Amino acid sequence: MTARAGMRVGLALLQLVAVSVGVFVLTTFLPGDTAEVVLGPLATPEQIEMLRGQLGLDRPVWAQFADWVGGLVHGDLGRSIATGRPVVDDIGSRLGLTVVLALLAVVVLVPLVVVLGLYGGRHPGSPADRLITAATTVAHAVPDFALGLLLVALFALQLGWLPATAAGSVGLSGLTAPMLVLPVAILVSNQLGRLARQVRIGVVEADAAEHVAHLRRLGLAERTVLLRHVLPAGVVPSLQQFARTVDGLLGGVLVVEALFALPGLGSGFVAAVQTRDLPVVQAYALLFAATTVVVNLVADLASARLVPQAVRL
Amino acid sequence: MTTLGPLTELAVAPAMPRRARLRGRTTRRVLRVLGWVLLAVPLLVAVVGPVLAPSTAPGGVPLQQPGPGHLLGTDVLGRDLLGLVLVGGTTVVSLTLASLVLAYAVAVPIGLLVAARGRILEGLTIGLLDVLLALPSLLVLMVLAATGRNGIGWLVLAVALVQVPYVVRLVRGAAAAPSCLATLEAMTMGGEPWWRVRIVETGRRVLPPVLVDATTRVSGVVGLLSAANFLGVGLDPAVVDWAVVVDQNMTALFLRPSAVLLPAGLLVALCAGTNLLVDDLLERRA
Amino acid sequence: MPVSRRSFLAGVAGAGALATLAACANGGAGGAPQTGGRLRAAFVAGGAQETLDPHRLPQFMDQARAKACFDTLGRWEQDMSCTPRLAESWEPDATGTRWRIRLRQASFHDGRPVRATDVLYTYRRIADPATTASAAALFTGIDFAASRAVNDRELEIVLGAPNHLFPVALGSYGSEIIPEGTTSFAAPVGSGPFRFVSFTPGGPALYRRNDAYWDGAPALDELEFLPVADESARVGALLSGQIEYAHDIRATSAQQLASDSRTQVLTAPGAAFQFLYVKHDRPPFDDPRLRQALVLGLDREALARVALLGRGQPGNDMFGKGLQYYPDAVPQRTRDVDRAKALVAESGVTTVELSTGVTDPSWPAATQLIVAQLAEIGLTAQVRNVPPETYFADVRKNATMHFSRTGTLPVQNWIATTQLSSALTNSFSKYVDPEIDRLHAQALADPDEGARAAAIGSALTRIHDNIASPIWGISDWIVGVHGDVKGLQGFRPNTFDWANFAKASLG
Repeated sequence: MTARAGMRVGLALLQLVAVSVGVFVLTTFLPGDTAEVVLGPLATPEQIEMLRGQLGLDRPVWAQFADWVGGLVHGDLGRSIATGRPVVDDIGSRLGLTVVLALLAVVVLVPLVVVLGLYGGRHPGSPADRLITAATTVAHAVPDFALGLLLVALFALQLGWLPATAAGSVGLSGLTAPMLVLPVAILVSNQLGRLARQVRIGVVEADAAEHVAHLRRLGLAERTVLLRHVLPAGVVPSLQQFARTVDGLLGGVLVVEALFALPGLGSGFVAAVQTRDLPVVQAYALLFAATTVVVNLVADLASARLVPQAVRL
Repeated sequence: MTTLGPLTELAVAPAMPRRARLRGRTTRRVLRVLGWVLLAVPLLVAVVGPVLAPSTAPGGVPLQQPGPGHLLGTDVLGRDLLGLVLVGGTTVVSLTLASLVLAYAVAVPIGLLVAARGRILEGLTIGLLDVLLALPSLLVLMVLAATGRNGIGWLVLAVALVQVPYVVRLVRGAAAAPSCLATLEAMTMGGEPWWRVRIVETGRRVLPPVLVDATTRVSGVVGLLSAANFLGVGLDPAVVDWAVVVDQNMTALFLRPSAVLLPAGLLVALCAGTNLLVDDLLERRA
Repeated sequence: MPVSRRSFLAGVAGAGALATLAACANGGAGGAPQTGGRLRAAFVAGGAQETLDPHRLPQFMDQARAKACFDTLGRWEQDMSCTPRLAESWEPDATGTRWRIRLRQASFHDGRPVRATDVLYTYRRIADPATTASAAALFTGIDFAASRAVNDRELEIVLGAPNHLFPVALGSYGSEIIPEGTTSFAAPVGSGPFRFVSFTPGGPALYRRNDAYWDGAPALDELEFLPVADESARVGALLSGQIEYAHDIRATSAQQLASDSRTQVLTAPGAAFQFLYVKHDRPPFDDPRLRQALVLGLDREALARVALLGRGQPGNDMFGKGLQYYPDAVPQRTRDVDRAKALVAESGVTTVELSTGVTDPSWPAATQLIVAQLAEIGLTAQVRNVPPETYFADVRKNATMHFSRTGTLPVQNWIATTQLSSALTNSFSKYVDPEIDRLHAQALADPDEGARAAAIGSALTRIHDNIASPIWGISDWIVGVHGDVKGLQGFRPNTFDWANFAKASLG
């Protein structure tokens, strides 16, 4: 088991290396460089050449990449080409915002998913079950940006209950709770459908399982059967989907960030690519890949805990 | 990971125990009809619309009210909205189909091969696909756009590529299901060559779950296609397509809501209708 | 500001847009402005690489922030003429090579007076190639070894060649005066209407009123600049009262804001020039017949109506309509499909390439229209979409026909940076005409204003006749402000009054 865990970590590291090389190869296809982007359209070729020299962009790309890898080995993520500041500074505040947004979405999602899934799974086929499934399906089909603009129009512009954007916040500073209500609502509405569906199926299957029927025959309180046996077993199959949701949320939610002027990881990553700021792009890619690995690991561990026989490292 | 949000989903069959199928029959019937209507309207528009559509040439007066020359008014580019709605479905529907067909054409053989040929190949392939998944899909799209590869073909390719790892896993899982294995073992004993057993026969057997999976992916693919447009890495703006029309008219949402809500509504109907009907179909099959 | 108002109106009268302007002007007569409050202004921003260096201003937000904190010696009026500002006066000698500049009594935020040596230090820094300053080209003509401070409030600038238009440089964006010796802009010190308080790169920048401002303290207590990249987010934030000023608004949103009682729309007519450049040095547009066919084939009225959504006007293939030195007498080019079709047939070309992007919101619409219009004259246009971040670098190299846009600039500066043979590497059209160089040099050297206007007018006319920079439209510049905001008008970007909050007030 330890050997397997070790192999898994080793594989994950190998995967990170592969991602890093893959990202490097991809970025070499991007035309233009930081000097051109930073100076804007009116800059003269001489000025671009000058800045290129100042930023060290006149060296071959692979040499720049080798430098960055060298730093990484020593635990240094490098410096942004455009700002000269450590990459960690640039990503730090955005990471905080993205994590908070993801956490809030999860905190809202989990009880909703469990309640809806449990209800549907306990009463499969009932009108309420069918309607819940249908409603969440339709909600899922509505594109984020359309839903976002409609919610802003209604709750911010018409009713004035909530702020329309998070303009003025940087990462977490300046951010207030009302600013996050609509973004979280959109993220939840998008993810609710498929998660609730999965839990519902899990519950239906767990509910019909032989050992659950046996427990019921033994006269265990229905409450105990549901919460101790049906729900944990019912949730396990949806953990993979849940992991993917969390992973997606932690990768930055570009559309929502743009609509609400939220400076999260998604828009930060796009900006880094657009500025051709390769060390920053690399750092983002590594962060995203690492998140994927960690989230999946946690999902597996949680599966193992909820249903011990499902251990499969 | 993907910065476009979780775009792919697992195949989700609505488990409906036998006793449950007797319940909520009226609701089920209503939802089935709703599903048919939701799916039929956009599909019908996509297929028949182009024949009936008035010209969608730009250049008229933008954002006109509905009236005689333009039954639904015009959009921000001064194009006839009715024409846009009637013409714009064909590309969405065909792109979605093309992406899915491509994804499955690539992924199903890989999945079968992986399932047939032992653990080493399996580990290698899955590891490789995981790396593919971990590459930010947004970066891939941006590189494609920045290097001028933003035509229809590239978009289909990119969208299909995102689906491949999931489909491979699904096929591998289905091929390894006990019910499937038992029959195949018997065939192998009967002296059939491995490829006939492992590829042809298994392929036949995994087909139903694969088809179900494909239909559940429709909304994910449509969502990805429209998100790509929102990010400016999607279709050529000159293509008349519901997702592109929505994107172009978003800024006029409050001035001429129908220019956004009609095409967006058709997209939503397409996805929601497919899903409702798939649910119903699965329940009948179960 | 009587001076600015007068020249402002004079400038736009030529554009025939007086009525629109009067309709959107606000403030003024309603008594003394109320003081206090914080005005929050949202712009598109450049992201984490932003600095507060007033000499490197690639984005409008950079310009606006520099304007709050710093001063320039001159000011660009609405017609791009330049009048004294921090300078009290400027006088050339007879040759136009020696300029005597007198400064006003003003002080930096740290109490030091603004002196002649600060000005010289500033201009030397701008001209230094290592600074990669936005206005570098305007100051490289200075002979710094010969220029000197006469006393604290007076300096003499010596130019390498005669230039009677040199003072225009003094009003340029990116020529803000910094205290001598400044090397860091982490907490910038200027002499402008607002003092620096705080700034996060990629985030908000906060400024507070400078009570000691030489032109009178601003009415606002505080001024905050917020980056909001998405246009619909800027509009939403404005409507919901999160910001008071939303820069760069689309025509559709303007209609929405105008109909909402909480907000008002400030429009600067004829502010952004929309080009459709063709390369003169390579096929297919090295053929003059094809160039002629192109400009005759464009339906400019339709482009202004649809692509600019009525918030603009047709272009006449010359930069600078409504600005100083623009030759109004040149007749407007109009569509002539038959003639264009015949020219295309003569040239034998059937297919052309058109590069476009999303840098300006009007381009996607204009692209579709132009493709349709070219089809009518027998040309098939193949569209190439170029992403915004490398758009200009890409089209400069690779495109044979492409969109471009330029905000308002002094006409002679535009000629100098894009139309002279010496500017060929930076040119979009690769059009070479020594006569333009000659006329430009003549305009700078001639002390007579009338002769100068004639020379620049002739240069523009040549550019028009030779189709060096086709302009299909001129768009308005639109800003949305909260209903309470007073003291602002629709101003052309790059002018002194644009994004200038020194006279703004809330209520």
